[in-house]
Amino acid sequence: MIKIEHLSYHYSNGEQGINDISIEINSSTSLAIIGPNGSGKSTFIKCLMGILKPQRGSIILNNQNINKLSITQRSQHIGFVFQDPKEQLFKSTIEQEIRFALRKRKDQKDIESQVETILECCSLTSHRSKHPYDVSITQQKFILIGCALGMNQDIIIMDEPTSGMDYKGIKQLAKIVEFLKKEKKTIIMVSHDLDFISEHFENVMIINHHQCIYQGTFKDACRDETVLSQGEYKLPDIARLSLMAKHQLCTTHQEWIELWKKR
Amino acid sequence: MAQLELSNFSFRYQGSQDYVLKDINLTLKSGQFTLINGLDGAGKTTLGYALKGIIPHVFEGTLLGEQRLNHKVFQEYTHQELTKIIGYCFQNPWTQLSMIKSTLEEELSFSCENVGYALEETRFRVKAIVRLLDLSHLIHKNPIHLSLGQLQTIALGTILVLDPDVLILDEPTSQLDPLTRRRLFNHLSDLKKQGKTIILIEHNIDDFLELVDHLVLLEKGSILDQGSVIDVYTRSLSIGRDIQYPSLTALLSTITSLDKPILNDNDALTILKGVKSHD
Repeated sequence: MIKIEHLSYHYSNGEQGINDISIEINSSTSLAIIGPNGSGKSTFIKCLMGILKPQRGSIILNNQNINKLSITQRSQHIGFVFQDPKEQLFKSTIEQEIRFALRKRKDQKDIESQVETILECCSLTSHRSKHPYDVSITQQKFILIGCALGMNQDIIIMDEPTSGMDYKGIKQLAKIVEFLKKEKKTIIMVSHDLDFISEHFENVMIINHHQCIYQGTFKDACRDETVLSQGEYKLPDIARLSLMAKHQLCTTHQEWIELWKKR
Repeated sequence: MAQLELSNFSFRYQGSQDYVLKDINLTLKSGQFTLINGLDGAGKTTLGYALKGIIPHVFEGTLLGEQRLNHKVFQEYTHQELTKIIGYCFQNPWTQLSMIKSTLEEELSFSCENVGYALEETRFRVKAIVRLLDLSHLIHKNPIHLSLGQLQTIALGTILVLDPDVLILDEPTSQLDPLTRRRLFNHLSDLKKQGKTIILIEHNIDDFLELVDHLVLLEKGSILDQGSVIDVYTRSLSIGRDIQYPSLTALLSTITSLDKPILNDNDALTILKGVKSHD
C-alpha cells in the first residue's frame, strides 16, 4: 500500500506544483489521475517517483517512509512511463532498450525468452533493430511500457500513455493493463481519456489548482454530476448513454452488453 | 483565401526504400475543414508536411506529382512565402517552440519577427492571441516551467499569431484537457467561419466531427476513402472496414448493426429505443 500524507511541492521559482495532497492507494488496485493541464498531475507522480523532492508531507510505501530513498532505490518498487517518451529512451535499438530493463536478471535463458515475450506483446518484434527515434510515438510509448514490464515492479505509473496513440495502440494498451491487473500490480495512470479510464480503472483522483478535489471509485464519480464537471470533464459515452437509455450506470463494455441482454 | 491541391503525389524520404505517400489526389478548397485520420505510420504527418511545403523544402527525397497552392506549383513559391500563407503546428510542442526565448511573450513575438512583422504589429498580434487563448497568466513564464499540455497550447499560439490562410494541425489535442479542447474547437469553428482552410490530423476525431466538411482516411500511404463524414463512414460500415469509427458509432455497433454512423446522443437514443433486448 502507498500512503501519501499532506504532500506539497513548489518549484524553485516559487511556482506551486501540488498542495497538501493525501491519498491511500491499496496494493493491486488501479488509480487514474485526471485534472486540467498545469494542475499538478505530473508533479504529483514525479514526487512518487523521486524525481522531485517534496518540501512537505510523506510517502509511505509498505509501512516504510520512502521520502529519503533515491530514484534508483525506489525503482525496485516503482516503474515509470514518461509522458514524452523521448525523455526516457537512450539506447540505439529497441531491443537494447528492452534488454537494459532486464539487465538485473541472472538467468540468460529467462532474459532471452522475456525479450521475445515483451517485444511480442508490445507489437515491436518486427521493429526490434530500429533506433527508438525512428518509430512512431505510439511505438515509442510501447517501448517504455515494454521496459516497465521487463522491470516487473509492483507499482507501475504511466503519464498519459494513450495520448497520441491510434485506436489500435489503445486496444493493445488495454490488453497490457488487464494483464497487469491480473498480475496484481498497482497501476497509477495520469490521463484525460475517460473512456479508457472507465473501462479499466477502479478509482479516480481529480487534481485541480494543485489540490486533490476528489478521490473515490470511478463509478461514484460518474453518479454525482458535480464531481466530473469540476474538472470540466464529461461523462464517458458508455455511462451517459446507459443512464439516458436505461437509467442504469454502465462503465465498462461488459456491463453495457449485459444491460442490453436483460429483459 | 487559399486552395491546396496534391495531384498524383507520391513521396519517398531520402535513404528510404518505400514510398510513404502513394499517388495522392486531394483538393482542399478555400474555407474547407478537412480531417485526416488513419493509423500510425499511415503517412498522416508526411501528408501534412507535403501540404505545407516542408516537403520538399526541408525534407529531401523522391517526389512525384504536384503540390499546388492557389493553382501555382509549390516550386514557384519561396519557403518563406509559403510560411506566411500556410501555418503548421507540429505534433510535439518541443519541435514547434524555438526554446531560445525565456518567456512565452517573447516566444510568441519571435514567430512574428521571424516573418518580418514590425514591432507595433507584433505587439498587437501577440496581445490578441494571448486574449484569444486565455494565456495572460502564463506569458511571463519560461516555457520550460510549463506542463506539456500548456506548451501544446502555446505552440498553437505561435502559429495562430501569424493568422495564416491555411492552418495544418498535427494532433493538436493529444495533451489537452477537455476544457482546452473545447476552446480549441471554438477557435477552429471561428477560423472556419472566417474562411480559413483548415487541415486537422487527429486521433481524437469525436471532438471535431461537427466541423468537418471533408474526411480523408489514409492507409499505408494511400487514400483509403475521402468525402463527407456521413458518406465515408456509411461506406465503411457497409463493407465492414476495420477503421476507427466515431465513438458513439463504435459503442452502438457492439449491440446492434448499423447502416449509418451515429454522431450524436439523439440519434443514439433513437437507435437504442429500437434495440430489442436479447438473451
